Amino acid sequence: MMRFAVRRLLLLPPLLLAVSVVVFLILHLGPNDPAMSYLRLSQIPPTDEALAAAREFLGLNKPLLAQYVDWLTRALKLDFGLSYVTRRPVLDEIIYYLPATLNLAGISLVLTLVLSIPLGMWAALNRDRWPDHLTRGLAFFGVSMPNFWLAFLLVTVFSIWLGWLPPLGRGTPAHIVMPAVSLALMSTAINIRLIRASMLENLNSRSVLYARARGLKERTVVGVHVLKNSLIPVVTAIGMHAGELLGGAVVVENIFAWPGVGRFAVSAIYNRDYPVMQCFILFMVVIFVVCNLLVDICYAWLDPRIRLAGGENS
Amino acid sequence: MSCGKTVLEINGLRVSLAKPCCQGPPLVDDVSLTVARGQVTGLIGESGCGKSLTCLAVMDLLPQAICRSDGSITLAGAPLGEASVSQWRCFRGRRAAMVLQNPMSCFDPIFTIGQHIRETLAAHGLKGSDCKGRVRSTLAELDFDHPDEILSAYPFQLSGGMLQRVMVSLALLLEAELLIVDEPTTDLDVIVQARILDLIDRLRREKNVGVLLVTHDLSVIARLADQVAVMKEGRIIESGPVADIFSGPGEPYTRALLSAHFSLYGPSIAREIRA
Amino acid sequence: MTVLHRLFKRRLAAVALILAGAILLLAVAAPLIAPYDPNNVVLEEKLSPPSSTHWLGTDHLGRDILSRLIYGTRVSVGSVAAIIACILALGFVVGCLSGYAGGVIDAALMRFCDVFLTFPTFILAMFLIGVLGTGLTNVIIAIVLTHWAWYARLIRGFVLSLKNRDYILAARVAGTPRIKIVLHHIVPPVFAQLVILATMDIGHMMLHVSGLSFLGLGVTPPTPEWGVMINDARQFIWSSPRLIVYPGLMIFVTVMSFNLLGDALRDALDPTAGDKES
Repeated sequence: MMRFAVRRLLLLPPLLLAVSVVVFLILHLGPNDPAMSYLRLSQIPPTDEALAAAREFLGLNKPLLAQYVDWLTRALKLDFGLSYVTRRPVLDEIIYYLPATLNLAGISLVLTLVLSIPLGMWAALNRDRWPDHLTRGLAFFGVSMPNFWLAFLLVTVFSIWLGWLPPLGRGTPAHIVMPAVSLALMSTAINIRLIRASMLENLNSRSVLYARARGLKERTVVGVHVLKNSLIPVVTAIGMHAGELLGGAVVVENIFAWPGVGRFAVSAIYNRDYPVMQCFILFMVVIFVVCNLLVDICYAWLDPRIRLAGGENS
Repeated sequence: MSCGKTVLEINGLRVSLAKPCCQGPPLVDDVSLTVARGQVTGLIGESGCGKSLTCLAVMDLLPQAICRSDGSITLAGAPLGEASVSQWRCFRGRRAAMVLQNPMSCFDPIFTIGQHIRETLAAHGLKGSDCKGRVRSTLAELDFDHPDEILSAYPFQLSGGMLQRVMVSLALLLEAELLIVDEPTTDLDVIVQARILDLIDRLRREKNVGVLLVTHDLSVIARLADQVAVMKEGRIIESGPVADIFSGPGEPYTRALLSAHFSLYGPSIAREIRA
Repeated sequence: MTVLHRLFKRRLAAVALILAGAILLLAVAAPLIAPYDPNNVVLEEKLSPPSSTHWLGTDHLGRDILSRLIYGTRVSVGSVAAIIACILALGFVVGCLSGYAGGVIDAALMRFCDVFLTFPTFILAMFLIGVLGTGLTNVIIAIVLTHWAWYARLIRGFVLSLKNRDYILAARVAGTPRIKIVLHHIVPPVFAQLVILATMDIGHMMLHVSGLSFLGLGVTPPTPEWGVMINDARQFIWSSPRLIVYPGLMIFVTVMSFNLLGDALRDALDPTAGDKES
């Protein structure tokens, strides 16, 4: 177990290094000149001299490799530079906005699991009867529904018509209901289908046949053996949902004026505030990677086949 | 029946597709069988002829789309035709145990062998510390050198032969009267095959267990069975003491089965039977 | 599975096929079907309710909503078609090369894919657009770059599983030239799998395109695109919420019909998977 976790951890630094190279290259090989953005956002007329000075100041005159090493060493010291717009350290800004995003994504993840696990089980246990049709219909609805549209429909119904829920902002628990629901819908729908499929597969497995042949109670067979085996793929899926939720959060934050990092990043992108964009994407990758690392470790912990063989492969 | 009392009696069993209303075409039709205590009844036929369905019907474990539409099943004098779901459950494992084919896929991969054994005993009301000792001694009896290691192992860490012996040990622990063995030699190498067949033989002699042995392998029948029934397309076409069937098969199908077998393995088995 | 259930499934597949066909038709024949020019601004008629002249009314600039919806089909379907074509081409080349060549090439290409798979897709797409700038072409580039690695990986998996099938080995033993094995025995089955996957992903890609456009990071106004239309309409959510309903409904129906089509296609071409999942 420890060996597995350590091996997984050792894979992280090279991967993150590669990610940093990709991010750096995308920014610097892109068609736009960061110096131009810098001048524009600093309200300095882009004369040739000003441009040259900005290049000098931002270190854009050095060879690419030197720039990268420079940037990386500073990033490792958690110095991501100053925002072109606010002139404040980028890291401070991101950390200021991050908790709201994690709050929203976390609640949505919990909502996803709380809704999808019972519904998926219900559908599988009533295969081809009305609960199955109903749940699958709902899941189908969910994967096809654009989250930003759902968000507006919710606002129309619950804020404008009924006046039950606040349409914008953050603060009371009522504020998080609509953002979390719109964000969780897609992953809930995916999860329902996943749980249903893996429950059905396990219900028809030979180990379940043998469990019944041993005279175990149906409650034990389904509640212990089928359920535990079916939840393993769900754990793996959480890693995937993490990416989905972080991406979706950007959209949902934008609609509900949720003061999260996604909304901040979108305005940084409008402005081409390069240091913020860079720091934002690295943060999101790190969160995503850490989620997946935790998921992998949980997975190995739950599944002895991985735990005990994990030393050799993967 | 040559000796002992009957432990399993199947009479006129019919198994059909559940739709429409158990009136679908029969997959197993008019099957009657008896298994006596301390005896092995062999059920032979090619794959897909309904042997496994017959076993599942005895355990009431038919898949959802298939149901038992006619016939009676009696275990140790108790008719089980009208038993309730929970009675069927008590009967499974406790009085009739099963050894399934492909043992590697029959255990839950995320539970240890010890957990499997413990939950099975608990389901039949056997708990407590004296169970532990019995589990160990039973495993030792079945040629496991290190019972404790087996108990803490996961199924994928054991071989098919070992898992099969674990299944047998569960039958022993619960003192089952009937053991249903489905294709015990499939996918096993010859030495392991011999070992499991020896074990079944020992159970029948020492514990007086009745065995329903399902196989498509005539040499297994020749080695173990007292009675044999030949199945084809869902029906039993011929049955009787094993020596009679081997020496004087009545049905053309049985004859074809035997001659196909002898052309593969030579006539030595036939001679053995006749001697 | 009951007969009724089967019939129901077939009918769903038929509905999906008809809907997807209708959407494609709208996209191709938009100029013929649309009653007005989608970008024709008539400020005097702004925000007018549905009427006999404007069936779905007009938006805040007096543009005919129905026409904009119809032209929006063009953008959505066209961009997704381009995206899928690029992803398949890229994924196919990398996946086949990686799977069939093996060794160092395989290892190098797969590590490269791993780096791309480390990013959450939507966020990487946002970032790419931030660097490249908005606009339809850049949206297509961004979504291709964020998704090709998944396909390359899957295709490599298919190729690897096929490579060791007995009939491929038999062909090799028989001395069939490598290129012929690839073209005759590997490409066709991999392609069949890909068509299923791609169809099931069309909806997902559309949601990406319209999501980015909604944020103002994709297709830019005044192009008639559904995500853009929702974004335009959000300031009128209190006064005329119907402006948001129409384009969203279009996205929903389009995505749903392609999802249905993907499921139906999978059931038809790969019966075992269908039994397990749907």
